[in-house]
Amino acid sequence: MASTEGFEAFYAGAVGRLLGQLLPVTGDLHEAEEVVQEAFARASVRWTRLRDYDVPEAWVRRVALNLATDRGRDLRRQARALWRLGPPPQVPAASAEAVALLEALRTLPMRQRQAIVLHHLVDLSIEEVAVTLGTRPGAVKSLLARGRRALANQLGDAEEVLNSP
Amino acid sequence: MIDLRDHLQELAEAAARDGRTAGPMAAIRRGRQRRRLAGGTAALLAAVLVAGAVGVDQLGSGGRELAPASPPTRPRFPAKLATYAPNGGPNDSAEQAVLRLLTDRSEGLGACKGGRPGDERIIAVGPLPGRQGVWMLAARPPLPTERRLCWMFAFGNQRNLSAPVAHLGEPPPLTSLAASSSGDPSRLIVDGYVTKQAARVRFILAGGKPPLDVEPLPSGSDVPVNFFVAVVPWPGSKGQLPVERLIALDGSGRAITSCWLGGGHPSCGSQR
Repeated sequence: MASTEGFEAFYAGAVGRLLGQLLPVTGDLHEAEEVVQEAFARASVRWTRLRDYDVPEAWVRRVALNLATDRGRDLRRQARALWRLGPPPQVPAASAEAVALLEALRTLPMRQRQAIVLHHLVDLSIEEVAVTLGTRPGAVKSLLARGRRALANQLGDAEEVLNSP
Repeated sequence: MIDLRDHLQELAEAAARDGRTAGPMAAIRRGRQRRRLAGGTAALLAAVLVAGAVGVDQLGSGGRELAPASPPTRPRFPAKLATYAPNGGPNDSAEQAVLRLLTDRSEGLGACKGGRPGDERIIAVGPLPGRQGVWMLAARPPLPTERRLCWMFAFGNQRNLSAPVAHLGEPPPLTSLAASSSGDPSRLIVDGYVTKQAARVRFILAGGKPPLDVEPLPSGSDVPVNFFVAVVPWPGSKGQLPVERLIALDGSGRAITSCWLGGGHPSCGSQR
């Protein structure tokens, strides 16, 4: 069996979902494309093992989230990494409210963004988010609460955001 | 009214609709390349790129503005990629790594559509500081009828390579002056191309500092423009870019063309 057999179908089925999940994390469509593609590249060299996983997409998502963290950390700390100065973040066509949410998410710490996306978009439970992020459920609850509060402050609609399930 | 879940879903659908990736085969190629290069991950180069164009003034304690000139490592540029080989120096393996990146068919110069297929030229190669690798400029000569140019600036070593900056697909039309900038916590690196009529590219710096001139790197007769690379100090790398404007000057000092780099525009011209 070829080492990449089935990879193309897996890629085609998952890439759109992963782009959608990484956009709110990175805040930039190009950045989301880059981390998702890199995560798939890493998956491709491990495909003979990954294809036997129950949900190989979860592995790719976790790698993409880690990559987003690494890249964000580089920028936040102004580490000595070189980055390309490009145009402003690329945002897909969406409603004004959704774009405002994306802008507000950009101001949150990466871990809060990841927790919010995994819980409120990917629909993972608190425990599953904790496993994905390599932390404790209590820490996830804290990340979610602080993230929602920050979004509420940014968007001026505290009650609605804070009441999100 | 903010509905977190609904708006996240809307963003996700928009990203899935508008997002573009290079596809599964490109991911496979990239994965194989990473494995060959490093047996691990590729990251942005954790080093300060210090590359200067030939003829750039020296950086010294007297507050001069541009980094030292880093002339190409060998005087035989431009060189055809097909016959180019590192010459046994300490940067050989780094050169090989950057060369592979330049010619990668999924994300490097190999992915750019235009010019004679396989006819890549190495315009210049220079060292990174601290023995951390090399930078390279490469281009593919356009066909006689083409008014577009495939070119690329890349740097790194066998473990870490810069994010490639090349056009996936057809590049934009050539202009007489174009530049892009990269940043790190202390410097702004500007790379670009300029018409061959230009003898110098003048950097108009922010804050009223005296302008500085960079001499273009010759590209050979098959490539319609010359190139330049320069480094400008940028303490804190926040806020306003340290370079406001680039002006191409001819041999007698007359302005040929110019473009704005500052004011929130990290690139000028239309090459990217």
